[in-house]
Amino acid sequence: MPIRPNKTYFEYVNSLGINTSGVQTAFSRPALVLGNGHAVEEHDGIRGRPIARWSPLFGEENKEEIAAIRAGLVRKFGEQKARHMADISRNLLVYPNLLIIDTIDITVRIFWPLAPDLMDVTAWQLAPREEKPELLARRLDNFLTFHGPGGFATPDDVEAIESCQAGYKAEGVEWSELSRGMHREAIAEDELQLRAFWRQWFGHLSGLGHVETNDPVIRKRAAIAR
Amino acid sequence: MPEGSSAGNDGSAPTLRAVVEEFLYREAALLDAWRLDEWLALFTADGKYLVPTTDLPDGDPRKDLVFIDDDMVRLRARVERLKSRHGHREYPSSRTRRFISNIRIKVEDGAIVVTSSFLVYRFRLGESSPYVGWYEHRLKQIDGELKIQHRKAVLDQEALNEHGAVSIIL
Repeated sequence: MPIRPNKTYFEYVNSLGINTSGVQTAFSRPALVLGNGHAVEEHDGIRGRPIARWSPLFGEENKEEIAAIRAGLVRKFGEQKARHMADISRNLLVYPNLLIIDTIDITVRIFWPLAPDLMDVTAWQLAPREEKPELLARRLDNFLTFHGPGGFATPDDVEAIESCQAGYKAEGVEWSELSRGMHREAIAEDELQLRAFWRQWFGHLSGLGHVETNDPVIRKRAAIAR
Repeated sequence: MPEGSSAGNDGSAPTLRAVVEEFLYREAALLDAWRLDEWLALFTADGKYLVPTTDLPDGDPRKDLVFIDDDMVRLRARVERLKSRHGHREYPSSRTRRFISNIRIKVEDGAIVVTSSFLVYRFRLGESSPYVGWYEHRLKQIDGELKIQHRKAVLDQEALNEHGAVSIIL
């Protein structure tokens, strides 16, 4: 039986009467490598986005406020860009150790590997200074359900990483398998961003410097176009 | 009377201190035994459980980021999660042992406000480090029983380094 990641989080959200079935197909957008180890994946922000996509998690009382923010974005940036800003969630990796998680909240994380078995992670939550107190309260509350050391999902993700790390100590396996989506146009749920990171990391550690971070299928197409 | 009678030796009614101490020790025993449903039953219907972040111990969950700010709906979900094999950080469960001391009691507007120091050891897969901090319990007498209306656990540690999470009920 496959293990569904973050199952207990979705059970909690569903118990509030919120339908999350769309999450299954939200991660079909293309993932992008940005060069030099940077990468981003975008997905449909179906769970709501505090910038301007309302979800029941933000409360009925904030529906109008979020609609007003959204209308402001459309006025300022036009419909297409506003939709991209408001509706689409993204995870951006700025190589080598900065992550901007722009989803049900905006979390900025930095990580410092200190030893092979030790890494410091520090996270911040971003919010606009002028945000209405009710909306800020919901934003913070929504963060707590998923992210952070006391959330319903992040501690399990950390557990997964630590368990893998414990497994690597066995030294029986030469490769860490990160090939998902390698032979197609990678989508958000693929592992393109991880490959972009590790290829560039390998390039730096082995003295190669900058390396090509695209998957073979993308490189081949670029070669044909040339 | 709760189990482990706190009545005076001469049969007199127990002091408030004795009742409160017994309550806190019983709560700690339930948590250490992972009897989490019984622990939930210690709360009032509008109960709250708060854990501020290590860098902002006075954090207000309305405007500051905290680690945990549970109402009873989320606290119940947290307990379900801790009992589930899909709560990976606590499956298998940690072993814990709570030490509570320096108990001080104030009575304010019909509520009993109790502050205490805690040392919660957590052992799991080779980890063996404590959470250190203090509790504030706001207790109410309901039908002759003490209930928790507000429970705050404030950490003294500068960061969560050893644990990487607040995955148990502190």
